[in-house]
Amino acid sequence: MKKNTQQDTVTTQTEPIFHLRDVFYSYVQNELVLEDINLEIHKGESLVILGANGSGKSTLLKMLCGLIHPTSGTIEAFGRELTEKSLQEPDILREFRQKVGFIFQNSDAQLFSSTVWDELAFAPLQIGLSPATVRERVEDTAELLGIQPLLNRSPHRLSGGEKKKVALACVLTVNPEVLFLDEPTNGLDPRTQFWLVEFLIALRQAGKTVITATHDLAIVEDIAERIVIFSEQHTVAADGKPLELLANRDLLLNLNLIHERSHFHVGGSRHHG
Amino acid sequence: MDLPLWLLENSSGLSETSHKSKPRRKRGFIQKTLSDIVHVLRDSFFSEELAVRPGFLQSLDPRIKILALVSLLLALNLISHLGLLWGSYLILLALAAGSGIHLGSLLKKVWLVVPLFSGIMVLPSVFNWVRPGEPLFTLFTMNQPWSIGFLHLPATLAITKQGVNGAVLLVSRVGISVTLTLIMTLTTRWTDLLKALRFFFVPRIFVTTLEMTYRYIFVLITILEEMFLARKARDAGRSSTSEQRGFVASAMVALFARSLQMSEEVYAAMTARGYSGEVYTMNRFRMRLHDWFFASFVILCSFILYVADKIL
Repeated sequence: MKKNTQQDTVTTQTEPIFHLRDVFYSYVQNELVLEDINLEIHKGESLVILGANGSGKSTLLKMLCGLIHPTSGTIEAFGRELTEKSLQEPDILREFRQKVGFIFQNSDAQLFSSTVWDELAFAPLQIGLSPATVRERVEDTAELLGIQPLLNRSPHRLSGGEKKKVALACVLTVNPEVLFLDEPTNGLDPRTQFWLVEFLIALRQAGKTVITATHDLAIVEDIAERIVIFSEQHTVAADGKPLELLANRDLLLNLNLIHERSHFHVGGSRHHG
Repeated sequence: MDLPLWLLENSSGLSETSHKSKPRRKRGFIQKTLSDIVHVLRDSFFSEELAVRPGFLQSLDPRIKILALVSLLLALNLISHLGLLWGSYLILLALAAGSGIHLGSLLKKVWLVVPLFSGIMVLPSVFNWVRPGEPLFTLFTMNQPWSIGFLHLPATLAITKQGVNGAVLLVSRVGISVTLTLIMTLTTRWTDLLKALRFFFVPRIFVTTLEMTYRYIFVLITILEEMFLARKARDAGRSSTSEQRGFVASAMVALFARSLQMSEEVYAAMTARGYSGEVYTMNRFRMRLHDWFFASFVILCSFILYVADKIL
């Protein structure tokens, strides 16, 4: 897979597909998980949300995917306000679910069907695609990710890497515009990690918006064209280009992304790759 | 980081209190039972070893297998001629052997359990006190009949011909029905079996829930197994029975909390992929010529069995 030479062109000129204004969120009263978040995400952008454990990255992803809703503040998605009420409209819900795909950190929770085939067919069937189209999508996606031999197997019989591939495939079958990935490299062996990075680059080249929440700095340089860093106080601490932010060692240290004895340096992941 | 002194030293082999040799410790009853349940579920319920092996019954459409099962169960439970029942049983065993099922283990699974449960249930009916009839074997005779309140018992306690026939018929029916069900389930993947239920008017949401239950039992079993291993890794054999009971109780609580958390995550994953209260699914089964042939053959056999029983 070739890397796009124009990957650094952030499409800030276009209307944002996600616009967050003064967003706050708490699971338990008075314990904020997200605090005063203001963010714009543009079409085709490859955004990495960095942050230490418990900083609110996963919560933000779930919110952008319409799985939870802000305690206060507003989120606009694809030019329409994203609220619990708006997602109760069947047409809006179907359109929104077709546009976004979420790859969960825990593949066991994501893969709930009895076979891999059913898993891949689930989302296209829910949005009302015809059986013939569903079959075609399942077969094409399986071929793309090289998981045809797994189609008739139960998800519980798969290895960690295979589960991650199936999780990715079951989201791709609806051809979403935006992909959310929550800690995608957790628990993967180096080969699968590398494969995943290459695949995300290919998706970005295809014009998909890829939003990844992680604390794995090793993959950030390869997949990000913009980084948003969350502080341990659940606020946005930095927002900018990867090279600028990753080169700022003090910032990474303060935000608990590296330790003072860490050997992380910009360009390191490329050398390892 | 300054480590405490005791952490800097290597532990000496045995502790001061454990010099005396102690008898070998057996695994606790509860822990042993739970870990055996985990293994049985993992090995037999989830391995699907037979169902994926090539064989005649394995090659059939699961819908046809359910249809055949229902039809044969009805016929076998309506007939009372023992010869016909056991003749059908032999054909079933031949079919099982032809599909790669090990007959010894199948017979053991059925006939070690069935007589125990259904046999105990029908045992009273072989005596003339419960079911009067022609005595086969007299156990004892009293001077006069017994009368306790509304209960009147004859002076002789005997095993009757009618009672024995009834008991043998019932145990045979139960054993043969269990064998038939086992053969069908052993040669069909659980996921296919559950999907096939949709064609027999079982509501879609019910089937989907069953499929997810099957899927997540495995995940929870794995968690449970890991909990046992984690405990075993730190158990030096000194925990008392009450401590072990405490562990089982806390494992149950932890497992319940994990399953709740998991159910929330699964619901979020379903919602993210378009689930909004109604599950849409697709039929992937395809009927082939031999499926139609087998279905017709089994329905015909069931009918012949029923008619033959009436004539004989």
